[in-house]
Amino acid sequence: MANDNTAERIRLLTFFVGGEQYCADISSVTDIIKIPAITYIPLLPEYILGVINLRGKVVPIADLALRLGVVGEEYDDHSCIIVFSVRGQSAGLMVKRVGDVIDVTEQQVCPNVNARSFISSIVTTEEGNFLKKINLDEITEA
Amino acid sequence: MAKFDEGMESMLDTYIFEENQLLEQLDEILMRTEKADSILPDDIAEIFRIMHTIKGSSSMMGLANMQKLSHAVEDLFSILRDKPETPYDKEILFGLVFDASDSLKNEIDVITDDSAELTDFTQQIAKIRAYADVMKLSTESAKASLPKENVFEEGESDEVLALHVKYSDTCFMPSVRAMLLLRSLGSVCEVTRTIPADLDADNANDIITQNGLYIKLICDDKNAVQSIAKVAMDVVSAEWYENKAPQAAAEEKPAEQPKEQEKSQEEQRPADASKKEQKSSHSADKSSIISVKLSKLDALLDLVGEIVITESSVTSSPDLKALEGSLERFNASARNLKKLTDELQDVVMSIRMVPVSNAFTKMSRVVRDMNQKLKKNVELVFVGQETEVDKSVVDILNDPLMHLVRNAVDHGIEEPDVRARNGKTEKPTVTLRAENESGEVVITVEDNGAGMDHLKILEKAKKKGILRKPENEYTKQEALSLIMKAGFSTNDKVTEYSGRGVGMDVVCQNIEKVGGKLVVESDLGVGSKFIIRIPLSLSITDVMQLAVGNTELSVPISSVKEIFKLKPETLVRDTEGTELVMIRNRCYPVIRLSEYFKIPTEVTELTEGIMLFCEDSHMRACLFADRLVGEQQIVVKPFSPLLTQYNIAENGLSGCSILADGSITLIADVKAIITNIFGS
Repeated sequence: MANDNTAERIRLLTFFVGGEQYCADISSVTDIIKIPAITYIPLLPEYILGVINLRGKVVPIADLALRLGVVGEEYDDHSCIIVFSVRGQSAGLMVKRVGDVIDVTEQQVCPNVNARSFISSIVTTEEGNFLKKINLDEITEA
Repeated sequence: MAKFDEGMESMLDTYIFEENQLLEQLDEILMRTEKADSILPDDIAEIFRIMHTIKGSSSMMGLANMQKLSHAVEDLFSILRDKPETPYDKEILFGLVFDASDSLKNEIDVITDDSAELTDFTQQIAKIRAYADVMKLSTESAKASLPKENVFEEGESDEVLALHVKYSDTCFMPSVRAMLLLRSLGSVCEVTRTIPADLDADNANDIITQNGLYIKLICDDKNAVQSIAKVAMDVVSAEWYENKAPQAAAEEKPAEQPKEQEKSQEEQRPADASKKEQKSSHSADKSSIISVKLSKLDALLDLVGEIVITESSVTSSPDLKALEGSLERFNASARNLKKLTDELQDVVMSIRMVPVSNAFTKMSRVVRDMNQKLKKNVELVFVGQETEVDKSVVDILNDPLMHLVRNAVDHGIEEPDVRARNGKTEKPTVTLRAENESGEVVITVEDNGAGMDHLKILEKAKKKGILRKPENEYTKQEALSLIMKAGFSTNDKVTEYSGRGVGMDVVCQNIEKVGGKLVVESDLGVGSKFIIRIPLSLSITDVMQLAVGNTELSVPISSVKEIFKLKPETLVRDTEGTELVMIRNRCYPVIRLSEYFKIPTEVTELTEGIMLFCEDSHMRACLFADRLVGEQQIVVKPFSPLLTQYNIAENGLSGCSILADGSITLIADVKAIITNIFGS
């Protein structure tokens, strides 16, 4: 498996939310930043924390834990925001920890049967761990 | 693709931009001179220059059709320029030039539209050339003797054949026929040369009519060539011309002569250089404007924002604390820097703003054309055309304005006799008005024509089956807005300008696409009014900043009428507990922003906080906030679509803005808030 053609490889960024490991396609990730001042916007769902000023752009920020239904996640100095861009729209996800960058092959990615789920697929790592791959399109669309 | 030369693609943007600008200049000159008695030499030279430039750049791009068309117009004006005494029929002349200008404009759209084919302007060119001939003939009583042709040059290969084509005397513009013939011959043979050599030349027609056309070509199938030539339009005969012994070498090569004539014409031009020089100083104003891509301006604006933020983070860096006392020079420079960055920001913010007059003036051309055709003699009036809006807004406005103005002139304004019968003495007028109103650009297209009968509209809508509820439940306003539904047209007659029932719904869609609104007001017999409201997406707004709990909100100053501290005696409560404030003997409801936006705050006593008496679209209320923070000029940014899906705008937040210190402020929409609480 290690000698597979690199073209088939998918590079993923892993991160931790509510004690579980998730991952997302790294090609959509534009920034990983420390948590800056977030401007609260009233009358929105709880998991939308507000907007930040990212180099002159107003980027909405969501709390991934709350979005995934994890209540009471505590953030500290090592927590951060992953900013990604899909179809020209930027958004940030606040996560407890950023993990690693891993390369996987297509065989390791098993699509979720429920196509409309927030979790697009399950990735089996070489160590045999399961990573839930976040569907970024779903976040930017829904 | 392959509409233009490969490798020129990078130039396309510049080309299109330049061309548009030149054509706009041309229109401007035409509009101005049309009203005058005669065209001034300066204007003639200017039109000539514009056409010359278009010709040049079009040929550079490899757009032969545009090049030829502009060449024809250029020639037309070169006659006038060289011999100003040439008599001409102004109406025909202007008609030709206006048509040419329109065709060129259309062609520019065609170039960028992959699905469209380049237009063939041959007919149009022929018309222009024919008129040029008429003009020339009127000055030259006697035709200059035409050069004799020498068909075969010395030392020419035997393979080269010559086809002698004669056109009938009645043929209109044989040179154009010849060009067409050459094109159809292109499939069976290779044309090396024609006599006359330059079919575009001014005297080509005369030469062909007198001597016929010689086509030098190399081919395999002589008969095929001849049969094509024989059936071509207006051709009387097409015979092979035998290669006779070359004539005396001393004779000039006449085939070159037309070219040389043109050259001599070309040489005359520098002679006019002094004249041109004068003119260029007069057009210096125009050349001092450069054009920049919008995306670059966006990037610049973002960058300046960052500089301002970085500047403040440098000058207020905590590291400086340790050096306190020895920072005099640093502080002085820092103040200078701040002043400069502030100025920079102001300038950059103003760059994107353009007056709406850009969009308005285009309409005078539309009205002019329609006046000529419809004889309604409509006057177009501009109000507030200096109102500045974001460049992108002006671009959006062009199409809707065009539709609305056309509709107003075509349907709105009555025929002159109808007007007279109804005792309307005032001049038929279409008014274009622009103004800024509470964070929106409001563009109004108003006519003093017949107005619309909302009952008739209802009836028609019923017939078309586009009613959504029982007929009698429609208010006048709702009935009028039915005309914006797809497939609706009140005019039974479809005219060149309107009446197909596609216009209004497209207009409406275009405006809604950018978050705008279109409202119709109309009184039967008095006139109609179309009001376009477009958010100032990126334009600068003055806002009042308010603090509500930990959140800062901004309210457009345009909707704030008064700011005051509440006096307890002016407060009234109705039986439902709604708080009302009496202002000059009228009572207005109080809206506590903290309650409305569900933001916790410690300021709960109405007398402690601050009251803002707001008015937006005739809705009034008092907003209650904790305190005032200040006044700011901001660039409104719309919320990301990721947020707008949560009805954020309907809930009363119209956008946000990044302030100079890098923080973000939310912009409250007074109208939406009032509507949400009390309904419209």
